[in-house]
Amino acid sequence: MQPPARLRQIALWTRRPFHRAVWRLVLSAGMLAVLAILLVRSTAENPHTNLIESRKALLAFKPPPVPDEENAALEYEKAFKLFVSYGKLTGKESFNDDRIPQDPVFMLGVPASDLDQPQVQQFLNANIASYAWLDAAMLKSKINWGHDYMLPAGLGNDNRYRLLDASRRMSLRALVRARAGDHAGAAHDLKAIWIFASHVDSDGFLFDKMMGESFRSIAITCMQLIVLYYTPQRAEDIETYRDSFGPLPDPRASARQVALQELANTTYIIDWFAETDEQTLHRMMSIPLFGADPIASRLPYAMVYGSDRKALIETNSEALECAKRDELAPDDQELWRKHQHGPVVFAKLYSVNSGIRRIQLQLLKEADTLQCMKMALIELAFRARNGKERFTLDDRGTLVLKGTADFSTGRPLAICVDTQELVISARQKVKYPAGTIRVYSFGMNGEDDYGQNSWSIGHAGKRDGDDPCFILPPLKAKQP
Amino acid sequence: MTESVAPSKPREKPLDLWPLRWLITAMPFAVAGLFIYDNNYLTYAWMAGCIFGGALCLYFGHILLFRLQCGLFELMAMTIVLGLFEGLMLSTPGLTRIALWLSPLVLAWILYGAVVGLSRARLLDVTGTLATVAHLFAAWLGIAWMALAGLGAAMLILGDGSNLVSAEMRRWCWPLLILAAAGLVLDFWIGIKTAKRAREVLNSNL
Repeated sequence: MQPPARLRQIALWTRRPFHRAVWRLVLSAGMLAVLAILLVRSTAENPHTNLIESRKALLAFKPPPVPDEENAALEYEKAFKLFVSYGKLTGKESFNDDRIPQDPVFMLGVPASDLDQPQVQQFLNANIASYAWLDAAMLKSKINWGHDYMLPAGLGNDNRYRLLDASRRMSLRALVRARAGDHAGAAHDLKAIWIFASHVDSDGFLFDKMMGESFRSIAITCMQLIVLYYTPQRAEDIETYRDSFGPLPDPRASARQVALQELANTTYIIDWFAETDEQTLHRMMSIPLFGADPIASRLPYAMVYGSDRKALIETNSEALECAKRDELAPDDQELWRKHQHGPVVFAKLYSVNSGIRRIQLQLLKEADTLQCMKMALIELAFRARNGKERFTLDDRGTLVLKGTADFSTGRPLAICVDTQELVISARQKVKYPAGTIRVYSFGMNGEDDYGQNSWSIGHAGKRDGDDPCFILPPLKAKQP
Repeated sequence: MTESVAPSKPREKPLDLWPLRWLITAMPFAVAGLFIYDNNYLTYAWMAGCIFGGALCLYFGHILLFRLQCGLFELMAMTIVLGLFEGLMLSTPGLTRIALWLSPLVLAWILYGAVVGLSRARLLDVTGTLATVAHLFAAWLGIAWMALAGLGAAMLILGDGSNLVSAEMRRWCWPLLILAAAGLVLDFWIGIKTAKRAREVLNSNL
């Protein structure tokens, strides 16, 4: 039994609930967070433990250190420093008001006569020192950019873009040299671009690989322009060109390697966000209330992290398995239907499935185009030696090259004579009459589109088809 | 001649630390004012919550130990509930830091519920140990009903389209809402009984 006075005090305290009502409201907000933690328990994963594991897996892909004297990256650094841009040289914009390139770096694909403009030579002269360092870099096979693998996706790495610029400059010099009849010099420049491509994708991330493929695409396009604009007449020159592109790559092995590294990379990224990056968590989880608060940002993402990580690993693993089986990565929607079992935040952002699919297609397309190019150069060299075509086309003007097989579907390459005129520059109406020869593969659809595709130079207007191809001028044609 | 002096009645100490009571009540208003003044201070909301929880612990701990003189069995029940919650929270992977910051609030909830439960038991003249502990549990549930209802309703509203609520979490929606309803009903019912009894006590000539 309570003493009467104490009982009165308790009764009095009970009858004055104002303070406790206020406290209860505040306490409820805290208890809501407590209960949320308890609900998350069953699915919560520890980002710290995961980060240690995924960091280890990613670092296994880091290229070995390269001594300074063997490291091409140092030569590139010097070349980048000495580069004089068109803007710096002339004070003008790269493109004029009609979006026509004035900057020589962007002149890949312009009519040949444009290369005679004084600013082109002025630009090349101003960059002699930069070109010399690029020439030195291509002599080195080893490279280590020293990228920080712990920064997600190598962000902050602008060497890729600088090297893309260097590739464009090399293609410019190749065209200028070919126009001047220096085919050995032009072949050297194309070889340089090919080596730059292997240097830029040395880190093996998806983005690096995409950049590498765009470099290779520049080199092949440049070769195509040289063949159409300044067709080399000596078989030795043609063979030098052919050799400058190196052996045929294995596009499937490249895709497998990228998929493997990206699985490690994206898993690391998601763990890194969960463990260290409050800013991104705050932004992604839309918590305007607490700002980029290190604690407030944690709880909402912890609710999702387990299912987010699981979905990411499952989708990327499936893309990897497809790459291992030499199949194209599956359609994104189908993949998510299969693997999204819970809420996701970063998983869809960092799923590399569509990226892997794109690089697979790009690698196959590039490898087949290269194969067509090499075959076309063999034909061109034969033409240069014998003054006639090596092949005899059937009544339809086509020929299937037996004993060859493309990378896309394993079907043989083919040759056809184009029945339409070939427009090289729609702006200045530069074109070949009908009769150009297309060496082509049947592409991913495996159908004979007569060497038509939607990406390389060709007929003006919309075109169908997905045949990687390389175009030769007619045997006795006047160059445009 | 001697004068007889009536012995003075010893003064009963007050039930609570009333300055602390006012200080704690002023705290949320002051912090809200600070946040309205400068939104950047919201980053420190956890710190403010932690201090608020600590102050509540002091206030209710003082009443519980020095005024209500809770028994060993009640203390054991409190320790078990506290240990259960803290253990689960602190061992949740990746959330140890946030769990640490929330610990004072959990302790405050336990002590608050214990004081409310014990005071109700004393007023209603409940003397059995188990019945007293049942009052403690009713008070804990009653205090937490808003949090339970808030969480359950939030998950129900967010539904399938949410990128926060998994199917597993959604399964807890209705149990949480039912617990909240039970807490509310108990709180209301026992609250009315207690208020009636308190009125009687205050009106009596005790």
